[in-house]
Amino acid sequence: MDELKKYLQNHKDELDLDDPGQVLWDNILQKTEPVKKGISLLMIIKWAAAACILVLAGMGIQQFTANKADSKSIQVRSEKRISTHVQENKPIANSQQPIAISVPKPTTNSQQPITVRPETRIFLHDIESSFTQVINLQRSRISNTPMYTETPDYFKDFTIEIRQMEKDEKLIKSDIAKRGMTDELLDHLINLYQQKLNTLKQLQIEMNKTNNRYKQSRGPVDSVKTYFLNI
Amino acid sequence: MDQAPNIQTAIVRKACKGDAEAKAWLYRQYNKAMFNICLRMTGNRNDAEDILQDAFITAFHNLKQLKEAVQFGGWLKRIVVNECIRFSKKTVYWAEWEEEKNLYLPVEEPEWWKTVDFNIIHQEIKGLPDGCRQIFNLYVLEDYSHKAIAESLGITESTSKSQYHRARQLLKERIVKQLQIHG
Repeated sequence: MDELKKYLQNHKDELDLDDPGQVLWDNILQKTEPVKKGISLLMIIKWAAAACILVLAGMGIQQFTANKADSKSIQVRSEKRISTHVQENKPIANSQQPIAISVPKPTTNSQQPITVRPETRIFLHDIESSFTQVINLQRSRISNTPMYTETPDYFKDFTIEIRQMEKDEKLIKSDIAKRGMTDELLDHLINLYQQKLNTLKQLQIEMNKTNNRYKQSRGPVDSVKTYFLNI
Repeated sequence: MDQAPNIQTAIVRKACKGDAEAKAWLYRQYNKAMFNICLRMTGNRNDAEDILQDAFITAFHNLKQLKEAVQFGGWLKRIVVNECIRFSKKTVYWAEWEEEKNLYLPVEEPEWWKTVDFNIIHQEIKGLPDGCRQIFNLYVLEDYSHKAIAESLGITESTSKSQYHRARQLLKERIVKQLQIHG
């Protein structure tokens, strides 16, 4: 081999004496960096739309779950409202049809899994006795209120309604005895007590209104015609 | 000792995925050697930097084509030399030198270069005239054969040989002159 060539090849590294400019790397980096797409308005809109859909879907699922769990109690409440509305606006004396008060049948055929909370067993007795006390108090107020006009038949619809509720209460209690206490049955029972209490209050209001109307239009009361409701 | 190739392999793989830090590491590792090849081939800094920049950009864009990451240095060097040859073919008028062939015949000479500072040799190589400078570099430092040089630059093999001997003769004359002036 050429001696000069051999010598220079052996000392090739010692010939690397110059350095490139400092800006060279910046240029290289700039031209080799992957192009970063700017965040466009379209992208923002797309992400915002996606977020809205997610939020709405979440709310929908939550609502659906809540409705499913409370469907039975909501049914009872809505029926209660209807019956209350009927009592307020319909003259009791002209009411020909009994007011339908329905408590859902015990869910022996229910396909939903029944969850039993231990604490509900503990509170059942307390709840029952508390409601019973208030209901009995209201009953005694009604029983001790003298009626100066109309007849006991005038308030027959209320009586029927309360009798129906008492039947439903027995059904729920027997179901509890058979199947044990569930959240669902507890809800039914509480709703039933509330409904019963409301009906008694409505009856009290109606009795007072009837008496007031009679006092205002007829003057002094006739003690002979005075009677008491046995409800 | 064996960790260096592994490190380079890992870094090339990262650079392949677009990692800027990995690319910077490879640039720091090879920029000086590659720049000096370009500088000796072109004879001036501006062209050398342009070629170096294009070579690194080409390398980074085509990094996925590199089969063995450990061979990145050799692969990059081929890109650099090819860029230099492409540049030379564009800028150097070779036809004139066909007539000058066999003007410089090889002669036996003492090893005058052994006492010369490498900085002077480097400077004088850069200062050689176009044509003979590229051939000198390709033949001596890049270990191209005259046949390969002829094929690459589109000239005859004898032109390559004669230009090499011309370069070598000029180099000796200029270095000796330098040494006489500056001691």
